Amino acid sequence: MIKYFIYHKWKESIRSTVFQKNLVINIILGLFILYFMASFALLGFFIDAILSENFPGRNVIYVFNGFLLYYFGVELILRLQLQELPVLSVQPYMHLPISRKNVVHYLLSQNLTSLFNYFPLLVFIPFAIKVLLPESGALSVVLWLGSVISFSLFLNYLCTFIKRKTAEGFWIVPAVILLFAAIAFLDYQGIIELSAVSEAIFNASLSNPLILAIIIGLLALTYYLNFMLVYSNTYLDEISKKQKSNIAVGNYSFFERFGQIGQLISLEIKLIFRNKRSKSVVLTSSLFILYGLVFYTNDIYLEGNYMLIFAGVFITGMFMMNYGQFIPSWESSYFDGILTSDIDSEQYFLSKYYLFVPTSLAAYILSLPYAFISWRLVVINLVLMLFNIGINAFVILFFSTFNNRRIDLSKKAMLNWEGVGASQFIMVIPALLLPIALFFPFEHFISPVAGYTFLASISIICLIFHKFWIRLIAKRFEQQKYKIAAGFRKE
Amino acid sequence: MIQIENISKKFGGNTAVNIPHLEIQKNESFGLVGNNGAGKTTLFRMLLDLIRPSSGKVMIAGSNVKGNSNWKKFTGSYLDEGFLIGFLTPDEYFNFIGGLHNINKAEVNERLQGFEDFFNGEITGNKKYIRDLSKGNQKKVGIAAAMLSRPELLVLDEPFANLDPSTQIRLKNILREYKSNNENTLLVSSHDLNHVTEVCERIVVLEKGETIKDIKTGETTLKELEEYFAA
Repeated sequence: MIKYFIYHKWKESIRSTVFQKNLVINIILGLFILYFMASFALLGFFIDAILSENFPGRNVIYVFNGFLLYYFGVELILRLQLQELPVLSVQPYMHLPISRKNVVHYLLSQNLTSLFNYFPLLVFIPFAIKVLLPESGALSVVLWLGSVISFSLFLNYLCTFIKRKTAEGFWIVPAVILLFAAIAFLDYQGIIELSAVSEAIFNASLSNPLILAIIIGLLALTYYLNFMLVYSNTYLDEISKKQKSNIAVGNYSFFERFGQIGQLISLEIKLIFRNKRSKSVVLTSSLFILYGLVFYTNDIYLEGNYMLIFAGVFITGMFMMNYGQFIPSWESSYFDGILTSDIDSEQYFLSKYYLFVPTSLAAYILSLPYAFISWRLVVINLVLMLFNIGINAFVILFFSTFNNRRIDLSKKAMLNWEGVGASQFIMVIPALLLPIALFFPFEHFISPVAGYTFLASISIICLIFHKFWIRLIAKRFEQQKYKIAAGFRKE
Repeated sequence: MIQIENISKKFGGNTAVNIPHLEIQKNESFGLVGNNGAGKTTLFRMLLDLIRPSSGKVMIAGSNVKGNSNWKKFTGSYLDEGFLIGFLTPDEYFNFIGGLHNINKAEVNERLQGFEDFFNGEITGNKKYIRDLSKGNQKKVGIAAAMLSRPELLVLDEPFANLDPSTQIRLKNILREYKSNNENTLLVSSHDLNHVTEVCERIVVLEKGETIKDIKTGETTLKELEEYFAA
């Protein structure tokens, strides 16, 4: 039986549509993974050198062990955020003559395929072979590796248990982060000493099998808790309904006064706030307002221009780029309905544009406190906000007519490559190069002020003629719509 | 009302639809039947300008559906869930569709009164999102939304599928009433020969993308169709 489960799982991942239809993405993703694997493995090989340099005179193994609990803390937070619960894929087995227990074991074993379980090995194994083996011998290596791997798997099942119990509650991640931040604070103040605890546990694991036994016990306990939880809930209605609180809330009728465009904007706002993936776009985009801190805290950047332009584009335009890159894929599930309704393409794109403008303005207003760092930032970000709503918005909307990949709105945004095609990569280039290209000649031959003035003026001119650009985009959309709709109909 | 001229659609090397000429008069109730893969949905999609024909054209009320959206003002359609906005409640969806046709909320509610039996109390006034409704209830939403603007042309793909028997009968009454207005034209496709012969005055059989029968519905039609599909 297990054989078939594994076989099906393999087929499922090989035949998943994203995997099959999107070669470029797969190559890029593959390169990313290779890069991370190489980085981790290199870290594993050289971590002893790094540690002995930073902690001279101390035993490298003890220092490493002292860091482990911190690492596992980060791992738990990452897992809580990124790891998906495998849920629906057991449905086709429930009515077959397979014992419910086996189905549950299968479901729980699916977590093991998560990359989180393998990346740490790239650090732990080289470290164990290079440092532990010569110093403490093979038995210690087995005990220690057994302990850290079991601990990682324990976190795996702890994370899935928390997620299952809280039905993917949105608050759990911030809560855990807060808890850990509190621990880290106490640790930093010297009230508790986490590194000492960590060192004590994992140093002991080198020689004492009891530690390994305890960790395996914890692992078994979390597995058992998961098992009982899932086993008692393996009825289809409970599996497929992740949250029962799918109740419509909110009144958006304000916009509906403004005719068809108002209708479309109101629809779009409902789309954004009622679906997981689009909601997290809003969240990440608002976090990007803090992006300035990366640049503004560096005096060299702060006195220059180009890095500030770069930051300004992101701060005031993150939502439009982040959300706009997937227009009209957001609406892929009802795109045929849009096409057969009496919606004019120009109005359609105008409604997107009218959504971009206030978000950019809001981001700018929220970025105003950067004035405390330098008053220049207020002016520069204003220029780039004008650039975003005067030029960049149209670049994004133009590239959106190349999108024909379906998006499932209910899936989460993290590491989700659904809907990503070549256009997402290409559209970043003009969005970032255009302001520089417009700014550079004036800055170079006259002065930075002339550069900003030119950038702002041309943005305002384009902004005034926004209906012209929208008309052009709508025209292109009219030609592309069959291709877009055909792409959206594919699973 | 509708003229189809030399229309064909090829997917790769396969011809999905190939119809030299087909005309549907105003006030006709037109039924399209055929087995799976006969090209019914493809034909409807070309009719609604959702896919581009490989050749030929579709005219609604004298103008090409392509590059023109005038026909959308008087055409109501529901083909599949791809027409429904899953994250809205049915009420919000009806108001959205109504808003596009400049029908205010009070008017939308009044028009939906006519669907009360058809909805069977499961659609309006419910805070559930459309994506959480059953297939049958989703279909009810789609059909009612297509009829909300009182269109002169109504296009429905498999309207009876997924509906329970009572609802099927109510739908038949709704469609008959729709047709009782002499201005209205109805196009439906169906796998169910019984329903389609009851509702439609004219039935066209599609096989491998071609029209092979064009029957004016009479007493023997059902038998004729059953014999054809049994063969």
